[in-house]
Amino acid sequence: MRPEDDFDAYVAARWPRLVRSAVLLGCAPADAEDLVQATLERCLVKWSRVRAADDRDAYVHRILVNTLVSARRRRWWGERPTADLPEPPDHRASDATLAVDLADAVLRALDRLPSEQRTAVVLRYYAQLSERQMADALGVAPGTVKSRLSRALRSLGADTDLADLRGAR
Amino acid sequence: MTRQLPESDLVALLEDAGGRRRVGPAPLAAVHHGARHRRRRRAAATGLAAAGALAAVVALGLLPTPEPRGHDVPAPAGTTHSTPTATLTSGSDPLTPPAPRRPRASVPILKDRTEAEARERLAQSGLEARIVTRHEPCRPADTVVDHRPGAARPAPADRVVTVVVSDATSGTGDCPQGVASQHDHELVAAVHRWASGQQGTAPWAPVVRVALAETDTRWDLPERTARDRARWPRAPGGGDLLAGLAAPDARYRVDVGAARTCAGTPGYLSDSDSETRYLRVSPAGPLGSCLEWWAVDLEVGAVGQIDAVTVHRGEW
Repeated sequence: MRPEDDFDAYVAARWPRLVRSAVLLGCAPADAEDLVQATLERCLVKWSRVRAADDRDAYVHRILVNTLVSARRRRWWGERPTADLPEPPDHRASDATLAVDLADAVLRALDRLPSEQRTAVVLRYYAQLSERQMADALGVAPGTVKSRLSRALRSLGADTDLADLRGAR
Repeated sequence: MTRQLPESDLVALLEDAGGRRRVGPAPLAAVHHGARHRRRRRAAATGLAAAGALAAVVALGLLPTPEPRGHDVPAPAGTTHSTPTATLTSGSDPLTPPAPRRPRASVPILKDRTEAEARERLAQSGLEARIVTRHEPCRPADTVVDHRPGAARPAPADRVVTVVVSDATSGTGDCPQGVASQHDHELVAAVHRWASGQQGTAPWAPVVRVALAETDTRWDLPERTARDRARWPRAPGGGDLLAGLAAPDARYRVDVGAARTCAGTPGYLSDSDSETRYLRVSPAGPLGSCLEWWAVDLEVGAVGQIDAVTVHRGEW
C-alpha cells in the first residue's frame, strides 16, 4: 500500500472520532474540523514517522493536543472563563431536548475541569487510549496520567449537573 | 468525601455527548493541499536556517581551516613557523603533512523545534541531548526553549548538549502581564519587516485607527492603505510616523499591557479583562536622552488583527 493510500484510509476511519474528540476537548464544532484538518496536515508531512511509530493513534493524538494548545496560545485572549453559566438544562423537556441538554451539560462539566484533566478524560474515556499511550501522547509520566484522571473523576463525581443527568438516563 | 464518577458512566456520557455531533466527510483534498503547503514552508525555513547557521559558523571562525601542507611551507630547522591552525616546531619533519585533525562539531540551531526534532538534529551532528523540561506559560508545549551550548558554538567535549524543552502543560495559561509571547514577538517582527521596507505586511484590521499620542491627530486607514507603507500618513511637520521601526536593524523591546516609558514609569495600557491585547514596542538600547525615545502601541483584537496604532514620539 502506498503511503498516501495508507494515510487516506487512516483519515477515512478516524476523521469523525478525531473531530468529536476535539469538540470534547473544548473546540466549537467548526473549529474542531479545522483543528483536526491542521493536525492531519502535520501528520501527512511526516507520515513516514507516524507509520513507524509504535502507536499511531497515540502519535496522532499527541499532535492533536499540541495543535490545540498552539491554537489556544495564539488566541488565548479570545476565551474568557465566566463564573455565570447560561441557564441550566430543563430536564422536564422532551427527549430530543434532553439529548441536546445532555451533550451541553457534559461539555460544561468538562469546561469546569482544568485543561490537563479535561485532556486526560477525553483521551482516556473517549479516544480510548491506554494510560501508557496517554503518557506517550502527553509527554508525561504514567503516574501523572493516573493522578490527573483520578482528580478529574472526583471532580466529575461531585458535579451536580452530571449527577442529574445520570439519574435521567 | 466525594465519590469518583464511575468510569463506565463517564464513557457512556462522553459517547452520548460526542456521538451526537454530526461530522461532515473528511476533507482529504484539503488535507493533502495543506500538507504540500507545509512541506514548502518547511523546506524554505530549513534553507534559511541552514544559511543562517553557516553564516554564524563562518562568522565565528569555526569552520576547519585547511591544514598547511609541509612541502609548500618548509620550516627552517631550529625555528618555529606558526599558522592560524597549526604550529610546526623544529625537529618535526616539514615534508610530512600533519595528521588531519577531526573537525570539532558545532551545535545546530535547536530553538523552537520539538524535542524529537532536536534529538534528530543533534544525532546528525554526532551529539546527544540531555533534556530538561520547564513550564513555559507563553510557549507551546514540547518546544525547545533554550540549549547549552548555543547554536553554532563548539560541541562540548562529552558531546552532550543540554536542551531545555517546554513541558506538556506549557502554553495553556495566560501569559503574565508584561511578558510577550512568541506570537507577540512574531507579530511585532512582521510589523518591523514591513515598516523597514524589508518584506511582507502585517495583519491589519479592515480599518486601522492610527493616532499620535498626546495630540488630537488621528487617522482611520482602510486595510488597503494600511498595507502600503508609502501611503501611511506623515506626522505633523513631515516626519515619518514609524521612524523608530524604519531601520532594518532597529533594536526594540516588546511589552504586553505595560506602558513602559522612557523614564521607566510603570503603568498599564489597559485592564487585564480587556479582550484586546496591547503591545508596546519601544527602543531596546540606551538612549542619549528621552527626546530620542519613541514607542508604538499596537492594539491586537480578538482575531489577531491590528486594530489600532498609537505612536509616541519623545518624552519630556
